[in-house]
Formats: sequence, C-alpha cells, structure tokens
Amino acid sequence: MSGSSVSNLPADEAILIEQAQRGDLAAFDQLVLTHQQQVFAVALRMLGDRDEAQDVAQDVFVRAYRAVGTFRHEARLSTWLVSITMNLCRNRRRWWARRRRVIVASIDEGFDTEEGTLAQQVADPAPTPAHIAERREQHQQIMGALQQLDEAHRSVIVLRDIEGCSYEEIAQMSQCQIGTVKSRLSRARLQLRALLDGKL
Amino acid sequence: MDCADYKRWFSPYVDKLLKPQEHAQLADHLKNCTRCQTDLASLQQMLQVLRTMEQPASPELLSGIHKKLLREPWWERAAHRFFAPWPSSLPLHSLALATTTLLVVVVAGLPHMFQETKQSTRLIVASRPMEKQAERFRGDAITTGSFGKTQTSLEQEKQDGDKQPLRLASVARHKEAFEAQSTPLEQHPIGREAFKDKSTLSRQQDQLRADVEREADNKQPVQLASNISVSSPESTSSSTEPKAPASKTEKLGYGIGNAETSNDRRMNGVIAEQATPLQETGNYKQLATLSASVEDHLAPVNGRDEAVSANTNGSEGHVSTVDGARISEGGGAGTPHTKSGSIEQNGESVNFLPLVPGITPLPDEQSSVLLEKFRLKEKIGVSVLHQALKANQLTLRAYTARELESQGNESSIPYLIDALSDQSSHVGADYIDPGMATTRYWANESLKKLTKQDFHFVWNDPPEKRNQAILRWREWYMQKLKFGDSH
Repeated sequence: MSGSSVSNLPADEAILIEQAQRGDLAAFDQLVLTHQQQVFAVALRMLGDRDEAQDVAQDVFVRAYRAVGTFRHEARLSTWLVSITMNLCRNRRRWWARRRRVIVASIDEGFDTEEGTLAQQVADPAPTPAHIAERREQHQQIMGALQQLDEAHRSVIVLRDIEGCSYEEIAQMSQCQIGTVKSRLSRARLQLRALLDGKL
Repeated sequence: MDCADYKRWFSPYVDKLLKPQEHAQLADHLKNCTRCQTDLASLQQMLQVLRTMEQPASPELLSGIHKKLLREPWWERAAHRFFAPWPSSLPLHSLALATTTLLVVVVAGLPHMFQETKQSTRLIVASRPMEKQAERFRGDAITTGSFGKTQTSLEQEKQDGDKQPLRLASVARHKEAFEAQSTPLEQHPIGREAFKDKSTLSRQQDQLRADVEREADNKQPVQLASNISVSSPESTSSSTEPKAPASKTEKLGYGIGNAETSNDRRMNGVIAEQATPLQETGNYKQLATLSASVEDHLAPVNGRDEAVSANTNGSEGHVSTVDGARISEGGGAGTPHTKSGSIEQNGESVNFLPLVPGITPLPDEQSSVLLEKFRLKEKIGVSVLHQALKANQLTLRAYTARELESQGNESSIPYLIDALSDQSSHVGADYIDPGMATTRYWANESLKKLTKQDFHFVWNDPPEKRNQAILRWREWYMQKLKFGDSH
C-alpha cells in the first residue's frame, strides 16, 4: 500500500471484483489471498493479539463479501479493506472495554513473517543471536508502546509509518480531513517517540 | 517560535510536507539547537524501525471465512443477494416484483370480491322465497307457451327493431340491468336454467331450432288458428282456415298473434273452443327451458298476439262468467269493444317472458275443487294459488289474483307480475269497475297492496300503455332482487 494516490484497480483485480460481485466465491477467495496479509497485519498492530487479529481479519472479509456489491471502484480495494479493518478493530476494542478485558499484546509470541520467524527473516549476512534478540526486543517495545496510544493516534501511526499509506488514503480510511491526519500524525509520532525514548 | 513549536514541524519535515519557507526556518533552528537535532534524529530512527518492521505472516483465513459465511442466516444471505448488483440479484428482484404485483392485484381486488360476496349473499337471501317455490315446481313439465314466447321474442327483436325505439330503449335498459346482475341471478332458481353458459345455450338453441324446424316441416299445414304456428298433429285448431304455405318464421312459432286470424275467429263466434296446448314433446320442453335466457327473460315480445298466454294456458277462446259477467279469453287483436268495458286489443301488443317460467297449469279437475273452495271461502295454500294463476279457467285465475291480495306474500310478487299480462277479457260485468272480473286487474291490486308500489297499471289501458307499466313492475322487481328492500 505504498501508492500515494487513489488509482485504478489492477485489471485482474477489477475482473475478480466483478466476478465476486456476481456471487463468484472462488474469485473472492483470490481477493482474500491477495489482501489477507495486509488486513491481518493492520489488525494485529491495532489489536496486539494474534487470535483477535485473525478473527477480525476473517470478519473483515466476510463483511467485504457481503458488501462487495456496493464497491464502486472509487478507491483501491486495499483501502476499502483496511477501512473495514479499522472499523472492526475499533468495535472490537470497544467490546473489550465494555467487558473490562485487559488487552495484552502478544508481543512475546514472536513474529512470524512471510518467510518464517523474525529471527529467520532478519537478513543480516551473519545475524548473530544478540542481533536477533535486539530486533525482537525492539519489536516488542514498539508494539507495547503502540497499544498505549489512543485509537486515533495508533491508527495513523500504523497506517502511515507501518503500512505506508498516503495521507489521502488515511483520510479516506479514517473519514477525516487531511489536515486532521497531519496533526494527528504529528502528535502520535511525538507521543510514540516519547514512549520509546531510550528503548530503541 | 520555540523548540516546542518546531517539534510540531518534525513530522511534516520527515514526510517532506513542509513549505520551503518553513523548511528553511526549521533548518536554521536545527543548526542552532542540539536538543531539537537529537529529538529529530530519534524520531527518524523510530520511524525507520517502524518502516522496517516486517509484516507478520497471515494465518490461513479462507476456511474461517467460509465457515462464517455458511453460518450466515438465510435471511441475511437473501438480503445480501438482494442488494447485490443487478446480475446476481436479478432472480430475487424478479421474485420481489412478481410478489409485489400479486399483492397489488389481491389488495386491489379484495374490495370488489367483498362487494360481490356481500351482494350475492343479499340476493340469495332475497331470492329464498322464490327458490322454495322453484323447488316445488322443479321437475314439472314446462309449458309450451315458454317456447312460443321465446322464439317470438327472438324474432320480434329482429323484425321490429326500428319501429319502437322508445320501447327498445327500455328493453335495452332492462338488458343492461339484467346483465349487471347476472351473477347473482345465476343463483336464482328462475334464472338457473336460463343462465347457463350462453355459448352452450346458443348451440343448443340452434340445434333445437333445427329439430323443431324439421318437425314442423313434417306437420304442415301450420295451425294458425291456434295462434301458435308450431302445433302438434293432435292439437285442435279453431275454425280458421289453415294458412299455407306457412313461412319459416311461422313454422318456428314466430308468427304467433296474427290479428286477422284472431278477428276472423271472433267474428265467426268461435270462442268457446279450447285449443289444445302445444304438445310437450322433449324438444319443446328443452327449447322452452333454454329459451328462458337472460335477454329474453326481460324482453317484451312485440307484435305477438296476446292470445299467447291464453294458449299457454290452453284456454284460447275460452268463455265463462264471473259473478254474472261474461268473460271471454284469448282476446287477441281486434276484440270488439263492448258497452260493459271489454278490452280492446289491437295488434300492437307486447308479451313478456314469465318471471316464473315452467309452471304447469292447474289441472281442470283441481280447478273445479279450487273454485268450490273459493266459494266456501276456505283457506288455500299460497303455492296452490300461484299455480292457480296459470289455471285454464279464467274465473279461477281472477279469483286467485284477488285472493292473493290477502293471502299472498313476497314470493307471490313475480307470479302476480306475470299475471299482469293475463289477457282475459269479460263482457257484461256489473261491477263498479268492470275490471274487477279480470285477472290482471286483481293482480295489479294485489301487487300494490303487497309491495306498497304503484306503477300506474290500468287493466283496460291500451296494450302499449299496459306493457309500459308491466315493464316498470318488472324493472322494479329486478332491482329489488339485486339490491333487496333497501333499494
């Protein structure tokens, strides 16, 4: 999601969307496989819990399947999916808050990556155990600090600095003005830096 | 600006979103502020770490998604399909459209159906007395008079279409009124036979006409003296010479009411001879039944000899006395006007199909018994009185019409209306009103008393005027059948 502006969908994706809109579940499955990584990652950053993130990611695609008929190609599909993800994550956190559930980020569980665990993925020519441990600790610190931010600030950090979304996309997903995104992002970065001061 | 203000520019500075002037201003500040340099470097480091964070591998989501989709309630799936774009939602949209159309039709038709049901119920209630009587008479032989009248009615409409626009307009009104109430009348015993499927009726009539025609061809010459040209070999003709060759119309019974024939007959003093009714052969019965169709039921039969009803009763030319009055029956066109108020009947007369068809005339032996009962002032059942209105003996008919004034009830109305067409006339009566020896006089009086209605029927009015009054009575009765007493 590194594109800086809303562009037309890839031709293949547009076809898949069209087929999914006709009720073709196989086409929709293809879309799931394409976007599940990003959806899950956002959910995990926002919730800090793998199981919850997995559940929310599934709900995102169920919602998307039900509402794919209303998708009008005005935004990228990924933008639309992340927007749903943000909403569901927000709802899930509120659900937790109502039940006084303590959110414990599963940062100790290790971070599986597309190519394996983080330890395996760190691409240093000769990753030392100390180096791997340092990266894991950094990761845990960041995730812990993220969960301390409030919802709006955490979402702009996740979307902008982790997922690489543009200001416009963030404004679309968050349904707010770009100026609001800028100011939120500025405050969120300063807060997060303060939380991580001396830990990175 | 102080350091706190410049720190707010760090974020857009990192994203290269500062304006050139702001960028230059921040750069100048950073040159002189080591603390801000440190903070910015720290921020950039943090962002670098965030951006280099690896994406976590997504677990397998598809199976879970499919399970959740399958767990979706059917109504949610249907709603999802319904709101999907056109191709996938087409079946549901079509179903919804069809259902909506059906609902609209049902809802729009409900008041009409309700109204019809209500109307039918009302008519059934209104026709109960008639139904009872029809039950009594069901299975009785149908008089041949019905046949003659019906056929004459059919032909007469064709022949006299332009002659009497006023009456035809009235007839048209009758037809419309009758057709408008055709559904309820189907439940009425009177119309039960007549309201058969019209196409079937028409086919059967055609077939029977052909049969009758063949039969008539074999029975030449036609007995005109009986005023019904289709007569059986056994029928006794009057003294009138046969008129040969008979036209096809006459063969079919359309030539009833030849004024010349009636006049001749009377001038010859041939009155007492009683014509034999038409033979109630199977064909005649069927045709008589079928002929009581909706239109014919109300249509007056123009130009038909008034003696038709007399023939129906088999009392053509019958003469008797009522309380000393000489009464002649079968007074066709041209009956001499007598000083005592005998009825003048010219050729322009109209007859109606009976509202209560298929009544067998009371047998003569019963008529005598009934007359004796009248003299003894014994009570007589209403149903017998109704039958007696079609008795052969006109004295009995006149007595009966008078008796119904006190004994009759609502069920007597159609019989009395039919009796208004009774053609009996009398000579030498000594009453205050000479009509008091006449059936139709008493029929009208009884009707007025029973119904509290008066349509200005005068027993000795010219036939044309009488027929208009009879039409009004019939129209009123049909309206009563249709709308009940509230009308």
